[in-house]
Amino acid sequence: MSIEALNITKRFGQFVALDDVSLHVRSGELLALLGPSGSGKTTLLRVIAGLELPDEGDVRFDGESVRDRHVRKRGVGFVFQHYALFRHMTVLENVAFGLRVKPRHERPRRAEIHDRVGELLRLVHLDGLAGRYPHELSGGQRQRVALARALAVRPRVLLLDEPFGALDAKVRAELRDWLRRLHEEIQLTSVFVTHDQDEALEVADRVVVMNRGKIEQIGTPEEVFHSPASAFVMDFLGQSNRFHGRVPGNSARQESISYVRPHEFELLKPSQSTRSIDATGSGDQLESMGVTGEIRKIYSASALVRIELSAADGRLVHVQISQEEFQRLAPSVGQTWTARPRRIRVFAADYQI
Amino acid sequence: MIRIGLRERCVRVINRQHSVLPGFGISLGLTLMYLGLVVLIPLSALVVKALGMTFEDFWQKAIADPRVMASYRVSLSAALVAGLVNSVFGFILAWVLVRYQFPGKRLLDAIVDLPFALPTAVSGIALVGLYASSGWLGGWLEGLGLKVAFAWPGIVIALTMIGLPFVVRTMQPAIEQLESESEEAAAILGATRGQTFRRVILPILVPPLLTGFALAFARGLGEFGSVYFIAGNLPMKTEIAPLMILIKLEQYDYHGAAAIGLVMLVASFALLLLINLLQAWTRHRSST
Amino acid sequence: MAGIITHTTGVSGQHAQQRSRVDRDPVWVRWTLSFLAIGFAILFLVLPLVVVGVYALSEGLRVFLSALTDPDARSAIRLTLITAAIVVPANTLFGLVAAWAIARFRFRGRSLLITLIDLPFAISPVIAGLMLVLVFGLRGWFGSTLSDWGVQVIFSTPGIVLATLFITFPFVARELIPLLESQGSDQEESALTLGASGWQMFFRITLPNIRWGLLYGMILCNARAMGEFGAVSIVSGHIRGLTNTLPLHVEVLYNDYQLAAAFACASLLALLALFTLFLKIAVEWKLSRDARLAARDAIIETGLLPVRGDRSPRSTSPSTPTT
Repeated sequence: MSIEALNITKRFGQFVALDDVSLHVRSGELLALLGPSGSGKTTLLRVIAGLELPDEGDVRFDGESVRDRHVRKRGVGFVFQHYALFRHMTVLENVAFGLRVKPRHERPRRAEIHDRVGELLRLVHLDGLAGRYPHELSGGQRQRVALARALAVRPRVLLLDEPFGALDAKVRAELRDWLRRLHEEIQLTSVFVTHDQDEALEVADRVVVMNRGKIEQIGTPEEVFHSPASAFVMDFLGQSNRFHGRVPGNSARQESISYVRPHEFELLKPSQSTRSIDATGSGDQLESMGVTGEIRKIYSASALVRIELSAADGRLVHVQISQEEFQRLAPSVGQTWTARPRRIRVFAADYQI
Repeated sequence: MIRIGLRERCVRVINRQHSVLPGFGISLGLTLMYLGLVVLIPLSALVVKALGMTFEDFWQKAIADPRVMASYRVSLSAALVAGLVNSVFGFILAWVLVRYQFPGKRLLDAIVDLPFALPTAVSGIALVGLYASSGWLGGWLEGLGLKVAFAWPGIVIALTMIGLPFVVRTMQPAIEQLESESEEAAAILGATRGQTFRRVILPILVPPLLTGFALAFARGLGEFGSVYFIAGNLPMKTEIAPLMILIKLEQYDYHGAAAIGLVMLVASFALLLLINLLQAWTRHRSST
Repeated sequence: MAGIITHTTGVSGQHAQQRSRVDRDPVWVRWTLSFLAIGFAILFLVLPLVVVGVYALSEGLRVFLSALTDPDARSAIRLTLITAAIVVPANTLFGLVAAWAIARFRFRGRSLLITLIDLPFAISPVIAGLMLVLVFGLRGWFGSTLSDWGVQVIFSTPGIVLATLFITFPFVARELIPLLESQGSDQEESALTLGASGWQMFFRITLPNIRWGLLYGMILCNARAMGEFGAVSIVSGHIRGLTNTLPLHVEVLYNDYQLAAAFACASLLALLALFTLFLKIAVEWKLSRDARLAARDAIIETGLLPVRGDRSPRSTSPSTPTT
């Protein structure tokens, strides 16, 4: 089932949480809403679920408007950030809840409910824990109970709010793989919210990057990472070095910012002319000459070697090179090196952090 | 030498954990002394007096006396009914105060504490002013055939007023702590508002509701001032147990007073224990 | 029992506004419940208060004033004030000391001690009075010895003070124990490491941090001390002009069918109650504001709240409780 959000605007008092946002989720895809806190991603998810009524705009499932359809009848599965498991019910009762509250004529028979719950608990690898209460489970197990509960009513779409937010790093990584595989298995249109770029890039088919109530970019993980559409996306996805300057050849003298990711530098012995660009140097100069400075720190105890270079004006430039490169060049702290960018992205300076 | 040894022994007996903060010995010592003087000596006087009686004497005075027995019945039944009324309306009041917005809400919230602040004697004569046959509501109610003042319903009314804040103030934080996500989750799973209330909200609120009821009930058993004015204090009909103690004392029947006092004391302790258990249950329910 | 008296958090306004569209009750439910709640509150809380005021003035202002200036009434007021003037400081001091021992140290029997402090709330005031009669009455433990020395406790002021002391014993301590516990001892320990003496630490760190809670406990203690009826009526002996407190005076007037005068004296006590409620709200507001500020500081410190522009939020936010 496809989901369309059309020109959604949602305000909370003075605060505009969503500002004319439109989004199309394709049937069967796993989509990530990525953004910093306050970017509106959770509000968008809640609007799709029917937990919030948009001030303007429409929500359509398979082309049919569900804007005024109560959340109870919308047929969505929703996994809350803190799971919202019913504390006084066992795992079985939690998962069966959605089936047991159906109107009498729709309600499956007791045995059917039992079978369905068993099937779901097997799906989320929790068979054997049906009699436990939520407080007797680990965080990862609770997460999976919440998922099973959401799936029990056979929703048409699955919505997850920060599904791994409350878990520790290791469990998080495991569940991430698991969710990816589960999605391949059940092929349910799914949208999840996250503020963690790795999570979004690794799990999702497509990523929606949001900022201040607007969508900055929609694309595959490769697209948003390698071809960011705005300075914000560039900044938000991964570390990058910023250089202020003017857009070359732009007569309007528009302020611009040049971005270089640390791994897009190559490290060179300084050329004869030790002149280097200053912090306000233009993109041109940066491209031809690079940044020259003294190495302040080297972090080599990881897959990639990180080097901090202190430029003439004192600002730090971050450079990443491979271990092989590091062995070959053998730079050391205190030496002067030049970092020359292989690739520069220039954005108009229309956004501030 | 001896003193140091004693001190060390004391510390070992009390077995406190090491702390750099000063004043443990003196503050605990003063507390125990004050507690002993003001609370424990009088308490033990009552217990000793009551236990100094033969069992038969005790039975005669505290249980077998029909007038005393009637007073227990009146106290228990009125406190029970008042507690139930408060459980219903206190719940509603707390729900309205936490969940809804309306003008005058802060005032309503503030006035709930009135029975805590109002001297019980004032509550008592105020209720007489309302419910006596010449009072604002009393004449009208008597027209309907319901005699309130100087009768059993008057006692219930007084205990309802006194106990109301206990239920409201126990329920309020519990309702505030309900996670709205639980209700949203239930709705998404297809539950109607009524189903959500019965299956998700109510089970979480049962322990605090029972706690509030028990607190109001306990207070109702011991309450004297407000009931004294409105009950009429007719033997076998509207005498409450605390009043029987007063009557025994006026007759210089110290043993009788102590015997009834001990019965009430045991009831209070039992309720106190129950309330502590209920509160522990509440905490257990509200922690994941 | 007092636990809940003292831990009211008041109305949480924002909470109610933030409800989403699904966990709101249907309109008819809201109207019905609001109607029931407000009606019940008017019937059991507002009307009794109003009736006291109306009856007090029913026979004119002159009767009202003469009821309050009558010599017996004046002596009752005096006795009530004297009692409160002794009881409130004594129990405040005790509350501070007990709260310090209980909240700052862990020792065997600690929870038993807490239960014992709570005891007066669980016991009927009449039983409290009875206990004192059994100890100090003429046929009590110390009664005859004391009367040989010429000291009379029961049917005289000391008995009234003792009874009130017993009844209001837990208020301050019960208020301070959770407050001290929630604040932790970090600040006090750091004061000690900076070289403060025990008293300096107490007066400069501990007391300023708990002053609103302390005031709150004293207010409740005072209200109960001035209004206590059951325990006092047993030990006082109802000697007019001598051992009647104001609530007992109300009873005497009522039994004499001097209704207007009884209600006049009652209205004075009702005013005291309203004043207490008012102070209580003010202190509660103050307490919750301090708590809100502390919480906000904590959020900013841990970086959970996005702070725009200013990179050093600590320098601009009104800092911690002592301001």
